Amino acid sequence: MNIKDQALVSRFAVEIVTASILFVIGVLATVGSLEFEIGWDPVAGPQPGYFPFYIGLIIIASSAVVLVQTALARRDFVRPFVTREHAKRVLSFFFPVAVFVALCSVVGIYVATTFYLLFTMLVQGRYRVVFALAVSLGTSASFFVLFELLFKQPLLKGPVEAWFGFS
Amino acid sequence: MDNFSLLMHGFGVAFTGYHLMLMVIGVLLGILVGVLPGLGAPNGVTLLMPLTFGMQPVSAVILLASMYWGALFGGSTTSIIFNIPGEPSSVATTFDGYPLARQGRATEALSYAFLSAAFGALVGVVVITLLSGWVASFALRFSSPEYFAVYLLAFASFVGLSGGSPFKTITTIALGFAFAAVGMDSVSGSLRLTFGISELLRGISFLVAVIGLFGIGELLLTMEEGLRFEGVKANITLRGVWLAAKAMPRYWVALVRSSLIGIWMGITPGGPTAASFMSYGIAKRLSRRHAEFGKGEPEGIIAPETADHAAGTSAMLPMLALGIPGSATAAVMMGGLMIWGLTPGPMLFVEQKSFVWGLIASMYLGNIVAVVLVLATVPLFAAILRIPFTIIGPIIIAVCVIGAYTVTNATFDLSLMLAFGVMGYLLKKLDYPIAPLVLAMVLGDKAEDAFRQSLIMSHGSVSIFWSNGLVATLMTLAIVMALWPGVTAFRRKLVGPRKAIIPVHP
Repeated sequence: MNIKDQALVSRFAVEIVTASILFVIGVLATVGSLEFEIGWDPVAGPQPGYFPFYIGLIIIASSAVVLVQTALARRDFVRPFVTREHAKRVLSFFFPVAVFVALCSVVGIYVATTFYLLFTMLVQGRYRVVFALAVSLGTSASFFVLFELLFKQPLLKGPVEAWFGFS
Repeated sequence: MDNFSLLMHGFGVAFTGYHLMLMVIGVLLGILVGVLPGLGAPNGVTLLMPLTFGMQPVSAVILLASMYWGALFGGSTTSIIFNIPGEPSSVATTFDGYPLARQGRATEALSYAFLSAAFGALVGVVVITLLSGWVASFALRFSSPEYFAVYLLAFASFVGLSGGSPFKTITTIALGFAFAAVGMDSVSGSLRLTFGISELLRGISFLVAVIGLFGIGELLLTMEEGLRFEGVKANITLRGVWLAAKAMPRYWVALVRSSLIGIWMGITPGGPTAASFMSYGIAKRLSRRHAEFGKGEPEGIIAPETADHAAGTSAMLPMLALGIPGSATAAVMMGGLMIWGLTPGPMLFVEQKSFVWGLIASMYLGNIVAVVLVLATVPLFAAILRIPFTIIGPIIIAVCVIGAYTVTNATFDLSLMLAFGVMGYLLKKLDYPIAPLVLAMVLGDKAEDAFRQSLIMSHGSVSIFWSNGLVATLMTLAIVMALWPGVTAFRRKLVGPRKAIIPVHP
């Protein structure tokens, strides 16, 4: 099997890690609910912490069971969780998205969209610069008209729009 | 019959120029969403929802419901032409739809799919019309314990009927409840599970979760295989449609049977996806031509399509009448109802007749509009899919980001969306069901309120959940459902493996 099809990480490992993370979330919920009373008030009934406390316990219990079930059935999970090739594709899709989201809070959604589209078209799609510029500017301009003017739903904006006089 | 005059009143509400325009827009957007990967019906409805905040509830729900029908139809288009299901409910359509299209009979395949879908949808709406009055009579018998029992039944059904480990289902349900508990508690006003992060004071919106889980998560999954749309040529001609329509009555048994399966799966929380698989499986087992299934047998298209559309429409009934959504999209719409200030439940049929019957009437019209539009626009949407993914993908992402932002204009929600996206990717790959998570987030507060009110009414005694016939029946059903995996596991040891009724992913 060539290196591309090799597993980056086995399914067993990811199952264990995920169930453990869920276990921790359960602990967080349980501990977090202790900030309030988790008992029973004779007048008001269950107190604010009651429900989240027991929900947290349920998460702890069921993710523990999943952990045990997974450990016992280890042989069923030897398949790769994701191969190198697939992981590469997923990550090369995800990182630009993450950067795009971060960029939105800095320069606003419209400008960030322009940069994001420009990036994917130039770097991943290898289109010509003129075409990429046209599509990315055209898309964010259409979004601008659609949301600011037609739907009247103002979106996150940044310094560029402020420079033009939009708040 | 009283229902009939209510329905006529509903038509009066629904049949305005404005609403017809909303139906057309909704259906077109729905087809677009159904056809594109990463934008599914739950996602599409979520993205459209903030735009409806200024509308009348009945207009808003007509728009969103039309989008749902459009998405169901659109998903079948890509299934048949590209062998890529645009919606989970169209997976079963690929089994015979694509092979039939490969034989050069794409028009026939598409026509079979759309016509039987319309049939199923209309049967579903008729059933809702007939049952609605009966449900409303339940209104006065429903109090907090009954509501809690009903919610419990809904979740127990997921545990009982999903494939995979029931403990994974329990975990996602509890996770959804935990997310729902973050933020202000409606009864005591206390701010729970915020851990000092001020952004969490607002709580975690299920809309943001849906965009992350179903949008980003789905796209991450699709990216693994890379995306290549090379499909069969399809040109819808009126003659082709007519030929298929003439052949349809031959399959009346499949049509009726599939509609019934769909209605059953819609009313119990099974959902369109489960309905389509179940219908296909049963059709294959019962048909004389079962050897032809998988090679382009028309019944293999008719069975799943009729069932999933019948389930789609009839899922509205438990959603409206009991507050139990039968599918992820219905869950989102229910969340919308609550945002618009309407409370699903039997009282909705009593207090908001215009809304309910306007919606039901619009379901007749909406599905007819949808069939016409989808037949007319197949070439258009097929062309859109040929746009390379390096352009379409980022545009879809941008739409998701905009959608997440418009929920509460909070930048924090964007990071939350990303987190849910990663979670969605992991959970789907590991066979954790996601629909119950969304359902728990939508119902979380209501379920907790119902629980608390019940215990207050009974002064702390749990026996209130068995205090009358209705609530006791519901609780018993819930317990049976929840323990069902134990029964199946035991049976498996005796008889051999059986296929799950609901595939893990909705």
